[in-house]
Amino acid sequence: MEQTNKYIYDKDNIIELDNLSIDYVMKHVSLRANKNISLKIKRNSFTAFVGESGSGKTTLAVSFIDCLVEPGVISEGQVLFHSKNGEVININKLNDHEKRNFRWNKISMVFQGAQSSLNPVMTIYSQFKETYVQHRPKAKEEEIKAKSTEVLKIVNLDAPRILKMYPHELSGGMKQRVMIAFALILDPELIILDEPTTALDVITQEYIFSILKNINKTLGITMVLLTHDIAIVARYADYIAVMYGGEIMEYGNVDEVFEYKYHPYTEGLIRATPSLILPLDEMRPIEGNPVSLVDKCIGCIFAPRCPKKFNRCEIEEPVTVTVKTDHYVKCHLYNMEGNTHE
Amino acid sequence: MNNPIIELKDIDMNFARRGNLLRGERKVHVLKKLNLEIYPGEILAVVGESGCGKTTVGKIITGLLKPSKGTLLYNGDSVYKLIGFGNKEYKACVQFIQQDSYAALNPVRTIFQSLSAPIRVKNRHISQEEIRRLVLANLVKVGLTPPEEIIMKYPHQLSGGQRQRVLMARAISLDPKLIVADEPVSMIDVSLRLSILNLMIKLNKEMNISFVYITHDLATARYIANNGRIAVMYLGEIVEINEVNDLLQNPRHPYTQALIASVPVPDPKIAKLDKKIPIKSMDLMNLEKRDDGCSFYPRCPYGFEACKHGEIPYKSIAECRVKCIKEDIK
Repeated sequence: MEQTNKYIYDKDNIIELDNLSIDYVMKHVSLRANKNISLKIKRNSFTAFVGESGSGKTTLAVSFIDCLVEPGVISEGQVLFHSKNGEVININKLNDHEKRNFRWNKISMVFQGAQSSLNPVMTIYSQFKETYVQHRPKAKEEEIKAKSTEVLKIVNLDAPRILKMYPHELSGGMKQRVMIAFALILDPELIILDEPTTALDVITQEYIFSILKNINKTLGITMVLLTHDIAIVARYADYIAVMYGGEIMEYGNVDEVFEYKYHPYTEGLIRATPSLILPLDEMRPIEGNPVSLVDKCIGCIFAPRCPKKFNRCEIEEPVTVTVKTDHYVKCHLYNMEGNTHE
Repeated sequence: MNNPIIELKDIDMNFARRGNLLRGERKVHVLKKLNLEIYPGEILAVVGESGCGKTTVGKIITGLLKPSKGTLLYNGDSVYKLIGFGNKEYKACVQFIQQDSYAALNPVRTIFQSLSAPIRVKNRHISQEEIRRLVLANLVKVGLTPPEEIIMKYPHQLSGGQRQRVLMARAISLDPKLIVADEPVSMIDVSLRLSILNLMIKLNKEMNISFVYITHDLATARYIANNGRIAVMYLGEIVEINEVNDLLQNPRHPYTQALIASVPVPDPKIAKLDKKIPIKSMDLMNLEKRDDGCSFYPRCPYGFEACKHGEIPYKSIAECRVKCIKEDIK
């Protein structure tokens, strides 16, 4: 890939989003699913994107593998991937051949709903083989067999038995573990996890995440988790990006974000999550209705629901400010220049 | 204490699984000797993982499914023998709210049409103005304003939270005594979940409606059933039933203990502590192959020889009933 020289290699970060905007362009209306996002995802970290449905987290993540669904287009900015061998790849400038070499080799993905991700009429082994051969056409049978056994072992599955099985013979938790093994098969540097435990019970959820965290730590694979469940993030993630209406409202270290809760939306989200330990009277929903991305918004996108809003929030879009090292907040409350209320 | 409004007695439920050339018809035991009472004005949360039969319990309570064995008592009378007025009253007084609010509303009918139908069925001599007044009043009760605008809309024009509120309005339109809500918030955005739960708590207090809240999420169960009860289900059995706070602070059944240990806490300081789930195996038992004995035995970290066979009796400790033979349960 010849683009290497144009960009500066960054050894600490794996993904660099540079003022990225993604639009869904339709006949009468265009919808901005991601708006001017600049972010660096740290290498070997477990980074979580938290947001409600329609907050743009999946759109953002699929742009990492250039898999945006029509009519989605990157209208501004770029996504750079810093491979560990020193290559810098501009993901949306790849041609078809390069894309094939890039996807799954560098970044793989565990899709939402493992139940429907597997082909019901093929054995697990033939599905492993299919994927492997597509990306490495010269692979030998023994190599594929050894690799699939190895990745199934990582997710604690009994390989010889599972490889012969069809998807309907597996339970939900086992299917999800097979999907994780799938994501590992070509030794990627980054795995995107899109709601990996929806439709699974909490005990299985805990088990799956302990496997994922283990892969993250021992194999050094960067994990990007997309979820709406902030409680999961508290337990497993290192970094958290809180998304609302296609924008990143707050990004930082998990411990800091939960402790300081700079952005009113972050605070609202944490309070709106029922838990077993918080006192009941401290839990409350966020007032108002979710944002519609079709309506154009002049000020802060969260302003209509924000309990701390003031005049400026409705007329001027906030800029992202650094409140601490590696901790960014997009809110007028922390940008004192031009603030008149205090 | 009051008499229970609904009583499930020794309910067994088998679903037949179609056979093929090689295997004959097989039966899946979904519920096994289930006993449950629901009292007037209480909130009971039924918690369990997918496939444990919690929705089946909800459907049996609302009369949508008839169990293979056992009876359902409504105010002391067997529902399956009710005829005429009694049957009509049971059907009006026990309402059901489904998980998928989009599938539960007819997409080609306006909200007014959907909400007026049950009122019209219950009372055939009611005037059009009166129906409109009742529908509007119900929408205000569930917090959908302005109601005049909402009734003109179709389901696809409302958000998920609003549709769930419409289902609530439909359920309360017949003045029910009991509402069975099957995962009403699992498809709703996190920021709005609590407002739907708050609405159910409000209806419970103001209209004295009992709620059976079916969920897989122990945290929302704690929120809604504060001062109420939680029943923990595992593979078709209620393994433990108790008052909320006692159950959470002092879980007695090994499955309840594992369940509570695996609920994530939204606070990294507590959540990141290393913890181990007290469970032996991750895999569920196959319902077709189940024999008698404790259904949690294959995954239980304690597991005695005596657990394998025979009926496990319930132990009563204060308000708690727990299905386990472990001796040190207090």
